Amino acid sequence: MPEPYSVVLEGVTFSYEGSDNPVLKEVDLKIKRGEMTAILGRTGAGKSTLIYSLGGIIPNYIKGNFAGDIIVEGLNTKDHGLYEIAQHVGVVMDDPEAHIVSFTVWEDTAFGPCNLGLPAEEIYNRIDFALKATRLDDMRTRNPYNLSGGEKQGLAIAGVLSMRPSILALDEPTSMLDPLGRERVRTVLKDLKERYGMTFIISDYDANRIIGVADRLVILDKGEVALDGRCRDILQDVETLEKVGVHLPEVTKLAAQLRTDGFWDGELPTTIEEAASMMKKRLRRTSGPGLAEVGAHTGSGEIMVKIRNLHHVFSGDVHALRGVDLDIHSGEYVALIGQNGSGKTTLAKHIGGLLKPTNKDAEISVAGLDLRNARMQDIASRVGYIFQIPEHQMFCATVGEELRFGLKNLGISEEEADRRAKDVATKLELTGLEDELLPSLNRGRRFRVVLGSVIAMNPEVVVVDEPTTGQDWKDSVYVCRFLEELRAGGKTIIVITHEMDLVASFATRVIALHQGSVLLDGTPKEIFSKTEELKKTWVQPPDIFRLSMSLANYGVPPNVLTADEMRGKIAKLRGRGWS
Amino acid sequence: MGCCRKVSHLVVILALATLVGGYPWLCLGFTKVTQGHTTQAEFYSLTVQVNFLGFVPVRDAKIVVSESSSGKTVWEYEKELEVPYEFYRLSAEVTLQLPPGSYVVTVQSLNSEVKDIVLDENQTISFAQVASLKVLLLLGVATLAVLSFIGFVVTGSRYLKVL
Amino acid sequence: MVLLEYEAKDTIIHRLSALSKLIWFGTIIFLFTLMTEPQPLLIVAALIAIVGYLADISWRKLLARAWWAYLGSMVGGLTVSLWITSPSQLQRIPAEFGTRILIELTPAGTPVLGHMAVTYAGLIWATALTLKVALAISVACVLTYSTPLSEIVSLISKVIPYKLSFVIMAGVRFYPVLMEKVATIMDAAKSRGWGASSANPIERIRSVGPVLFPTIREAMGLSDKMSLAIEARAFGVAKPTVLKVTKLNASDVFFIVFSILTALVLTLMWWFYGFGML
Repeated sequence: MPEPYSVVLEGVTFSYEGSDNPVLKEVDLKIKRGEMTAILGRTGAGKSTLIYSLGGIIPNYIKGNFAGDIIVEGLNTKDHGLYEIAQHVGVVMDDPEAHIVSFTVWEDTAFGPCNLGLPAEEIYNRIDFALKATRLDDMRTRNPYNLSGGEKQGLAIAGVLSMRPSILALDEPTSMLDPLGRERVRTVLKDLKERYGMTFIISDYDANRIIGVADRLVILDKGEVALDGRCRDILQDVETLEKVGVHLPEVTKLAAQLRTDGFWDGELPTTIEEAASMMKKRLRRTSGPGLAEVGAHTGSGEIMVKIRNLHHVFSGDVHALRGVDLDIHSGEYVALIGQNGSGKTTLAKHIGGLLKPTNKDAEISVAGLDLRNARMQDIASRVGYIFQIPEHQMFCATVGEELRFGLKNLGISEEEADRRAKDVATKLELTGLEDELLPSLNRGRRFRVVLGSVIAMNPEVVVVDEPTTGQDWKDSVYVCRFLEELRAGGKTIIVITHEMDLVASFATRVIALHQGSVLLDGTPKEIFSKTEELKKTWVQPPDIFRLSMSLANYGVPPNVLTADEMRGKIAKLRGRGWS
Repeated sequence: MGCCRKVSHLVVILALATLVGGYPWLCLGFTKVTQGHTTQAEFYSLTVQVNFLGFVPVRDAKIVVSESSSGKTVWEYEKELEVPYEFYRLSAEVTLQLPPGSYVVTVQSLNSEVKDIVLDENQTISFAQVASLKVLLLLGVATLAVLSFIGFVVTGSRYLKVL
Repeated sequence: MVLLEYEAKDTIIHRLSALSKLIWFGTIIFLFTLMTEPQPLLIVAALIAIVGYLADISWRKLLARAWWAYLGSMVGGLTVSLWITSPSQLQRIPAEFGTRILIELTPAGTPVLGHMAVTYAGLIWATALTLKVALAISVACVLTYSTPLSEIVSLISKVIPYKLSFVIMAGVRFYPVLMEKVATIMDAAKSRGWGASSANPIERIRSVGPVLFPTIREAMGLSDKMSLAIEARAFGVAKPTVLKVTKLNASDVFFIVFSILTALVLTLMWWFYGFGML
């Protein structure tokens, strides 16, 4: 009779070579066959280390001080080579690009089995299985370079699946993807679990991404198992989860707040449908929806960014922007939303002076400077641009040097540069780290250094391209709060993002792009109310907003953005219908 | 009076003998003189162009020029003909200088071609039916190349690549 | 690195095996080594144009991506041709025509530089060189456009060790990924005011340093992750199965014969008539 557990971890402790700090501490876990287990925790909690250990990458490939045992399908990972374990545990990293080594989808899928020297017929069968399971069957001859993010991640999974493992270990598989890509990967994983009974271990920091998919949650905090149990049960412990930095569903957080207020008892919901159903039981039905507030449009200050008739055509006749007209005012916090390929980054790069219009009659100016012919140095002193990946913007060895990098390029005096660098380090809680090597910092801190390097240049407009990519929720919120402080200080903030919860909390204005044109432009409440038009952009309103829409006939305004706002509205309705 | 007749006969005989004996020398001298003299007036240039089918130069052909009346060969050329430097030249050729007259020009390679000419001015004559081994080789390879291309197009259109 | 990437199409050229196209490519390159005059190269150009047309190649796209190479070769060729001034450098062109000076730059006997002039032979040679570079790029693009690189690499791997061929394949595969990262890094640096600060070329070379750090870091990070990924997929463990066996069908055979014979025709013309000799 086969063992009930696919994976057993016994007293696993690991610290990387050259470090005394253990990343995993005495981890004990047993994962059942066919179970989907999500490992949640903050950046640095040990999630990736655990995933790599399950796949035998630690200690076979990545060396360090490893203690304890990991048994996968009866094999101890210490005693078997990586490729042997890979036939039982397939590891998929967060960056699919590194997985893909061939020039067509089917060849990449065949790579693993070919390396094993299997017969051709067996390999063809495995390719068929893997591509059908990941919905890439009709893309066999496509060049992986041209696939979308979700498709690439699917291909990375296919490449591992063709080794026919019974266990799949995925390290933050959707952290680099847009909502459409995430949904695609979720569907693939669900399919694999239901149709093939595979065992899954998925690491993430966002509980929203695993709800409805994972059976079990394991919460890691500083290398130790803090919580372990059924998904639903673990999500009830909001306090612990927030403390360890896991991003909870907004509806769960709301219910926890309402529980604190004495307005909620019983189980906390994890989905919008559950929350709506539970709240409808507690609220009295009214004759009509609550009064919807539009929300203040803060677009009344000086025009900071002026764009008229902006077109951009890339080589190969790709019309990325089609006649965009925009005025962005001082003190606005603008969220640029839209599906990948809608033109968000192209527009942002124009504002940052990194692209020039391809039509002669376009106008684009920032803080009065005409960007069409301006020098990059003049643009850089007015517009700060922060890219998605911090590692692409780390030009120096230490934190201190990086904070001064832009200032040096602008010819700022050493004394002034020192003053500004120290000021920004204080604001971003980087004091005392000036001599630290950048690669030694965690992701969140690296992003702060990059942000500091730009803010030190004192630009009037700050453009941030997806500040949450690869960052955990706490770091993401930190960055958004910092940007809000800058906005309050008079700066203009433009953020490209897919995180509608953050848009709801921080943005004063939302611009939705679709196929290179401005589809919608208004306050968050205005934009999220236009659900039919929003569908074109594959953007869904934030969870609380959708919850409020479903409670429209229960006295709740149909356009509530955040849990805090909803809490206030519910408090006002106390007299009307609580049980 | 009898001795005068003998002397005059002797003079005539001696003169005739001198004439007959000296004629070849005189002719040679005369030719040399006339040759040297006729570069300016009495020789014409004859350019012989040789190709196959009108467009492939034939370099390895022997050219023989003989007098029409006597059949005597006045000129023979057995070296490789030159293809003058131009963007593309359709013939190989050689130019020779001949006195005016009627000639028979024969070009020989694998086959031969003969033409009669009257050389009374500078002229160019073309021979378009002389084949040489090299030319036939070239044309043969070119024909096969064309046929193989046709074969490629015909066979290539029928196959579908299936993974 | 690859000016025109492979596009999966169902053209007569796409359906040929990689071997046929590589042989065709090889014959064209052989002709380039032989010919130093433009006339035969125009015939080669016509052949490439026919094959490119059959492969449904986008010449406009190619021109847009490769114009800099054409321009560079023209400038380079014209520069080198300035030294074609001596009759001994000519094989077929009559010396009095070929060495006729159009513009004299330095007279004969000039120390270091020697005799530099624009001559007819030089112009012809420069034209031939420009044509050769343009055609070499074009023929390479027709090859890469109609043939998956993996097929070319797997063909090459029959003669070189598999691991080495994989290195080539991975290098080609990751080149555009790395270039994209480099482009982002440079954009990020520009947005910090980098790069435009000095007209001094030495300063500008020095200023490349900051961009090099993240580039090297990214490249090494990518290679690290990739090596982990391929090790997990059993790379190097056993003799790998070769899935695609190069089978030649009739159209492949005809195409190979056609390629070899056209090269032979031009070679014979070169040999018999000096067609293509300077």
